[in-house]
Amino acid sequence: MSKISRDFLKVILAEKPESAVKEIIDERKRAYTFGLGSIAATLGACAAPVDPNAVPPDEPERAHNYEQRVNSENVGITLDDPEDGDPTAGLPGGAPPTGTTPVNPNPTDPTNPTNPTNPTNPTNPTNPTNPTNPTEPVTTNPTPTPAIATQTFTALGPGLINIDASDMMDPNSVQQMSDGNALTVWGFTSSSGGAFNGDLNRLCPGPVIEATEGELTTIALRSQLPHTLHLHGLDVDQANDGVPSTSGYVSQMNPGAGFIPPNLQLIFDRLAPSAVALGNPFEYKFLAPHAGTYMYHCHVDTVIHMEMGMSGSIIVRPPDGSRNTLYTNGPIFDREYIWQLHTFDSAWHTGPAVSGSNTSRYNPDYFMLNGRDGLDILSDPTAAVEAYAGQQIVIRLVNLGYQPAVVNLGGIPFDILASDGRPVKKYFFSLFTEMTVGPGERYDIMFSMPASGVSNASINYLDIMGRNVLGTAVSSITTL
Amino acid sequence: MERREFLKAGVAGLSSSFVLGGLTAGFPRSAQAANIVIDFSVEEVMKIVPVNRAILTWQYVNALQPGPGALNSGIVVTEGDTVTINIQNNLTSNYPVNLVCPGLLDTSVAAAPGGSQSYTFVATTPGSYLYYDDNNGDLGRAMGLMGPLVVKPMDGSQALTPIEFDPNNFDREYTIVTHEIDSRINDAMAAGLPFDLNTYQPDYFFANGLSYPETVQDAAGNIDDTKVILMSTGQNVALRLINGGLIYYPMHFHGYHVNVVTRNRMLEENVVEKDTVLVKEGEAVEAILPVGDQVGLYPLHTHYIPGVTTSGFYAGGSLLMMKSVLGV
Repeated sequence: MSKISRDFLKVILAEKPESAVKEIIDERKRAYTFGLGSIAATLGACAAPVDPNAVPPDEPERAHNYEQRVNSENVGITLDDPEDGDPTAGLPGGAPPTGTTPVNPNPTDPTNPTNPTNPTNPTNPTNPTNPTNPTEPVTTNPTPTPAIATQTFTALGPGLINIDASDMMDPNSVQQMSDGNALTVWGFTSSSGGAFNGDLNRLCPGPVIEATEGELTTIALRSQLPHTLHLHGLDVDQANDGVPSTSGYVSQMNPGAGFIPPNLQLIFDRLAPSAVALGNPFEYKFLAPHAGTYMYHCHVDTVIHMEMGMSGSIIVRPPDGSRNTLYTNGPIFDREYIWQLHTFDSAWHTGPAVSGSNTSRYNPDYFMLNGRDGLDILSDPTAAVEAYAGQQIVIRLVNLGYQPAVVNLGGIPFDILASDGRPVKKYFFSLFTEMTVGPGERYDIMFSMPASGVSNASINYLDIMGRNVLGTAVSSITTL
Repeated sequence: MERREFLKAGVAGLSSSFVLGGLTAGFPRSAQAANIVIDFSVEEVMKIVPVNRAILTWQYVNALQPGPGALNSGIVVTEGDTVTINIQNNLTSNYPVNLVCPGLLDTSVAAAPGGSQSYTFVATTPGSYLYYDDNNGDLGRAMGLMGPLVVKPMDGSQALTPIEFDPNNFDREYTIVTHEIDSRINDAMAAGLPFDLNTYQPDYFFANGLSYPETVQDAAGNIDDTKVILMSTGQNVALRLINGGLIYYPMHFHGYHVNVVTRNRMLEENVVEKDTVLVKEGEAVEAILPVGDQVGLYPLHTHYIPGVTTSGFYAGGSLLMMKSVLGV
């Protein structure tokens, strides 16, 4: 950094409260990354910085740096008006944004859901979810904001979870699409046969699996053909990683069979700790490392098995099991959705099983949210968001598919709280209106329900070059 | 070393076989600002893809450069160096070729077929870069004209950016260049037939010029420690994920989260900890992988799963392995 910019920094720092100093240093760091030659440009209008009476950067300059800070390239972000939020105002775990929330961070405040006197708190007898409440219907709730269920989908776990694989051995493995077509799919179900949301008529995605941070979770997978569960993002040890060539799995007990070249398989078999015979459960065991959103999918001939529907989501709850925050000391929310994004190429789901040379070029023609497409999405309560004005909504975005997905909420600004099971390092209130979720990525976003009306949210699935929209899944956000 | 490709024209200086994922090595760097001169010839190279198929590609070739990956000359210079790149266009088809390196050399004049050009720039900012031909639009990269360039910090520190901004020194570093081929384009080019880049949809996918299992094993089928991303417990491993192709590479790490440090030399301070790092077209992402106490063999691959095939056959394509051993 040149001497002139160091001097300029001193001037600014001298005039700023301590809280702002870090921001300025961060901005200068970012300026550095543009190259030494562009520092002067980054400093903008303050080109005569040695003047001891120089004023701190004015608003246009701040906006300029704001754009750099967000680095819109990296998550495909469309910037909202930076004046909407003060980036120094809060960090993960801080208070929700002012002016948009009914939730008072003070636990003694009755409007805070953690306060037992708040009707949205499950321990409140007036809350319909409280078992001590005999029949109190929502409509007679005396408060202006009626109680509403926090979670909008069912889940298996925590603890021991039994999962069955359903594949070409099961002729009834079909998924009903909005155009009336029944596509052949494979998937994972609970032992009772239900897949996502316990739905018997929707084989994919699979059931949401819940775990608790720091506690042992066991998933017992039973299958009649070779399948695995790769615990995507949970950073488990090699034995539980669900990769056939390196981990234990449900196999034919026949080294040399399968897609790994025999010579390579010999190496891996020395490392593979175990394999069990078809039809017997293979137990995956892990300690969930951090509360957040994860995935699972079959890693056998992944290109086919995953696309055919053998995937789902894992939610790790905070150590105290709380369900109204994403992670310990995270922001409190009122309602939680999960949007699992994926596509089908119908050519893979009709006629004989696709294989080999047919799988390198993937041309999806069904564009889904939680396994529903077209107008079916709007009538699916796990996909169509409904809540009361001002309530804080979390959506866990999980890209189970192969296409990058550009998500917008019909213009409703949202915050990004976490990605890939980790809180973001910096927290921007209501800054984003659009973002890209790449295949295999997860983003947890939060927004405040608008005062009224219905918004159309879109998920635009891009080709893998990121240039054209192949298809769109449309959901709705309705203020009750 | 096994040869994976050969020059179509009989030009001296065969592009050698390459060590996948090896420690970044390349042109010698000096402690003080130096003048670095690199001579490239632009050649038609028949690239051998599994199984024993030869595909016409275009490559920047340097006879003396043993860097990782056929398309990966592994240029390594030091901040402050003056870099001169000379290109000699030996394509037999009528395509002028240039070389740009966004962030250091944003525009350049093309060398006509049979002609040459010289480009000089100063390596002003440490970081990871992609160089490629942009004179032919997408065609240059579709045919394979690209490679990585790394600028090390002037202070000699083992860090991705000056220590002032990133206090995390790393113990090892790897440069991973991803790219892909739509063989229909290359075959049409070889046959002199028309092609349509708007229908680009690749069928071969690479990491440092190789497809799995060549990214992992030696000729005898054993795991080759010079090909895998070798690391040991307690280490910080720097990864330079450079996308030389035309598609997105969402690179998924089994077994680990990484800390994204920069994207295209800009510090990433928002979405940092990731197990799946989306590397867009032309992008260079730098990340630190803290190995911690996790040992074992873990895949690193694109989560565009068709890219983990070789012409549709799983497992192949852009799939590497990380091998973590107990540190001493």
